[in-house]
Amino acid sequence: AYPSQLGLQDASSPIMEELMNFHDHTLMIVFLISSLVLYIITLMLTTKLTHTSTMDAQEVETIWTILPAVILILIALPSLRILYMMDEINNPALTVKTMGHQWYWSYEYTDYEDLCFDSYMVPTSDLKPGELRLLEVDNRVVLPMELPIRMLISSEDVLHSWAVPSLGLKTDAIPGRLNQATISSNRPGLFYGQCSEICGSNHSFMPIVLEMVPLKNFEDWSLSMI
Amino acid sequence: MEVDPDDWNRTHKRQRRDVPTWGWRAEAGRALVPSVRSSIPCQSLNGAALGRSAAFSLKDALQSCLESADEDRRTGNSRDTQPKRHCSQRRMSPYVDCYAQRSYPMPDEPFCTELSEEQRALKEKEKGSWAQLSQAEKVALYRLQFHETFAEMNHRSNEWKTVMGCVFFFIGFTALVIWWQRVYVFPEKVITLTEERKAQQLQRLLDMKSNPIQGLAAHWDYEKKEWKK
Repeated sequence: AYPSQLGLQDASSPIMEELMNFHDHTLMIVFLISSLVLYIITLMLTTKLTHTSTMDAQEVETIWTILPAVILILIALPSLRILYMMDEINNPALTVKTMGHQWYWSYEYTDYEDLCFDSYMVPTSDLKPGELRLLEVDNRVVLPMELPIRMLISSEDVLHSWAVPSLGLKTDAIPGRLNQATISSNRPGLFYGQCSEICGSNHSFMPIVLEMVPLKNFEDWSLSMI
Repeated sequence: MEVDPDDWNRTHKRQRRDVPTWGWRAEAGRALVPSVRSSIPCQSLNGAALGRSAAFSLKDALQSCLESADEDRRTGNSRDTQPKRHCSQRRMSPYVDCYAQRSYPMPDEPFCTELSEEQRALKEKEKGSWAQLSQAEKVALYRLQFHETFAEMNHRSNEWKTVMGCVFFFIGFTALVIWWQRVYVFPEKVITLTEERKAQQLQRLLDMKSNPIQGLAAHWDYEKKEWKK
């Protein structure tokens, strides 16, 4: 991401690619409707013709009832397709639990050994040169790339939301409830996200950083962390 | 093609809720509209001028007008609240019922209801052949019937200059307010916004190949170490 960016970040997972295409499709429909409405408004405002005795207009009323319904169906079908695609069974290789706290995230890798750590934001005064303000954390979430990973997301106190836009992830962290998301990254790298549900004074200051690495690197890292 | 005036009126006339538009009350109302507002029965004059077929004869109209005036006096209605208009007086808006607009070019009653002697004579002359009216007389008759010509009604105004002036004034005032805020309110800029730090952040983003498909790193040429052309 860069300053004054307008569009979505590049997709790092297949679901995000689908979401980007759906976004293009829906945005095109939105632009078409908006430009049509704007054109009609300018026509209305720049005419000298008047007609004060309109009683009914059955034909155009039928059209502008049926046509929006058709447009909504055209939007709904791809949307539902992606929704069901997100819930497909994919046999994850790893399960990671993340708990939201006020105001940090904690991660638990408990498949083999118990690995738990907290992830706090690095304050602006402690940033190293080149690090991104309000986005860096002290302990990143290291995960193997190109493998489906199950994320179980919950909260210890109030509502939070665990979001990583480049992977197309946003899942609410609800106290007393376990929500599941699937991560599958196409490429290695650092992927940033921020808490997406208002949770108090430092809601803007609890970011998420995913570090996707090859499997070998992930194994070395988890050994070093235990 | 001859247009049936009643049919035309029914489809084109603006509907007012408190005035009946069909039935015997409407007929009576249309016949009486000019004379309701003043005590001079000029229905037949108006009907003849506009070419409508009169529903009542003059005598009937006069009779019902006097009766309704008596009733008004008994019940205390003041239908005569409209000031009697002389041709030289201009009525203030928004008397749109008797005031031609672009969207309602044929108002219900003529602009001048109180006519002087010579104007009444002119109205009598109007009942004859119109070819015998001189240009000045035709203009006088038009002015009796309508407040403004179409050109006068549709003329543009200089209001836009006032509006734009006020818009620019307030934009300027807002600019002053924002300038004051920048000087006296906003805190110091964060250290990460210095040019050196921004360059280091950009270098880090390029090193981690963020958004390499269509985003930032996609525009950087890693061989030549410069932005792609």
